[in-house]
Amino acid sequence: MNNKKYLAGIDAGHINTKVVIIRGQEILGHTSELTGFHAIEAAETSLKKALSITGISKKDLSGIITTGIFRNLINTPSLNITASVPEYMADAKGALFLNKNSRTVIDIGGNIHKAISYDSNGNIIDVIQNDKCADGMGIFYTTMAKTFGISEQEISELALKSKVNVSVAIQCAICAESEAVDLVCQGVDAADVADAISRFIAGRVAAMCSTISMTPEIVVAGGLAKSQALMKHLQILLKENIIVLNLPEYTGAIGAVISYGGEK
Amino acid sequence: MIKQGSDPIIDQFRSITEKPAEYAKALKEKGQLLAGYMCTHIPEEILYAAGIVPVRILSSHISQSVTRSYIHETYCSFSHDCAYQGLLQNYNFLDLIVTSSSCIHMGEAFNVWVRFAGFKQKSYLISFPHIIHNKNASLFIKESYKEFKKFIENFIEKAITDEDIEKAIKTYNRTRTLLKELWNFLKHKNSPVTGSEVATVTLASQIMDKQEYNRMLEQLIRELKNKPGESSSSSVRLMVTGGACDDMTVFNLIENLNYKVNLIFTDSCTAARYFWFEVPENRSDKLEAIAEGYIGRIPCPAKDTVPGTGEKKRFRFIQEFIQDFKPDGIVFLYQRFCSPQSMDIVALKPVLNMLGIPWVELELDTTVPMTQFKSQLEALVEVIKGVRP
Repeated sequence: MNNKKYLAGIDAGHINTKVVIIRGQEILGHTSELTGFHAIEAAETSLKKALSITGISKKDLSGIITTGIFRNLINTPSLNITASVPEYMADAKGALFLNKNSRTVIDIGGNIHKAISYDSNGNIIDVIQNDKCADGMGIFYTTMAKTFGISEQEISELALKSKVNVSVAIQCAICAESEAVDLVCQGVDAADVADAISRFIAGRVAAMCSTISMTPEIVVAGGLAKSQALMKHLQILLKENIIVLNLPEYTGAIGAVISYGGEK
Repeated sequence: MIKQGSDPIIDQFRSITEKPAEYAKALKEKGQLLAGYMCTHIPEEILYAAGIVPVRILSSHISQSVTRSYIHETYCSFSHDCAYQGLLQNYNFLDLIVTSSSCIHMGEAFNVWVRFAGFKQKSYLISFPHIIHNKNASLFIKESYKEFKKFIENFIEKAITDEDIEKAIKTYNRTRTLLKELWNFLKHKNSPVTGSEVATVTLASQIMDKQEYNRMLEQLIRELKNKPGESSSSSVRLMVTGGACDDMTVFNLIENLNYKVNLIFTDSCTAARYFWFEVPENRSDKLEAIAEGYIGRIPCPAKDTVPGTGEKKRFRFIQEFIQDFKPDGIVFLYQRFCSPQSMDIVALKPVLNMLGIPWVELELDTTVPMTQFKSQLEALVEVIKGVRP
């Protein structure tokens, strides 16, 4: 094990820049920083923190592999990137690494969500990404948590206590946000509003998924996978069993490493 | 919440509008042939003459994303919701599904039923002209209805006689007359019935067997004639004009603001546009009579353009209704993404401005933001009443 090389994976996403340090099949550490306006800075900071957590120096790294929407932007001399991997490929490889039986991954991120089906080697069979009107589900979820003064985890916990089905407009996150606030103004129970928010996101994701062939096992990646309420609704809507990956938001970063010399 | 208990007959109508599929299913269980329809350009008289009860497909107001994979995102939520009813198999007991080439959005909802909800072998699309304000339109519609009649005759394996059609025309005209009588109560300052109740009763007419409906409505009107109305001299009179709205909570909201408000008229295809016309009776050519009736309706904005001049005939009706029902303000209430409606509003606003009638614009979606609507409606009432801070 000791002779195995250290690799860093950076997933420079719309909202967060995630870093993992991997040796062989072992995930040694992971960190996440807000991407904000400064993707390069976020990548550098996140990498620095990940190295610090794992006690590894940058010179010990055999490679830094990037993925994510900002992967080209962060390809600077200061970071000394070894290679970059498209998001879909990274997601597929990462999901397969985290769950050997998986054949489809649904990644619900901050700005986009996508579904990817792949074979037993992680080679992509089909992909689908959300349409424009369904952008920003993760941002919406976070915004709603902030609006109601609770954490994202608390939205999920509240939603699971819901007893009455209420709906928010399905068109887009802006409409849903407006109507969720309106429901609160009407005096609707917070748990029911939280549930409507979770059901709205699950609905948009499920609608996207209906356009590709979803080969089991289906796993879920991305930050929103941590919402139990959302996963409950997604499972109901897809009528399929879904498995939330371990470290779901790091699937892309892990997959980047696996795609480039990491061990399957 | 919709107010209950004002009148047992109204409550009965309300319960049918809240569970239209249940009502239709109960008819089916009695052996009644049923045809679902997506748009009010359907010559219901032909179906009724064939012994088939037409049932309008309405929406559920429950948010869902399923139809996003079947219908374009920017089609109205009413069409999405109606398509969803098919995908849910809520109406799989229907014998037929029918629509006309009138509204593209509802046409797509119809396609979803045909292609994905098991109605491929039991559906019919009635050709309807895009331009209705010209000489050839009636002839086109008559021919189109002739084809439809043939299809229905094949379906029931029986000829539809002129006598059958005449009987159906009279039944439907009776409904129209009764509904006009009901709506005319709203002209008066002390109406014994509210606008939202009238809207509910009207919506029920689009679901129910007309003979049963007429009996109930006759009884209701008899009762209302003997019922003292509530004085509403200080109340603000609002008229709604726009598109399909089967969400009765919106009309209820209009009449339950922090100010006293009466809803006095609704120009939409789920309200007055559905019935505010008559099919000529005792004509030798029954299909020509039906075509004449349907072409003389308050036009749907999707069909309402006079070639060459671009005139909107609906505007004349709206002005007549304003004269007759005397609203203090207008509520433009229409489905988001319904372009014909929203374009009509651009042209209608100057007309209302000239008449000195204030207005407010509310966009409908699957669900509506009630408190936002309430604020906007109260702002309109404050403008009308000249409320000063």
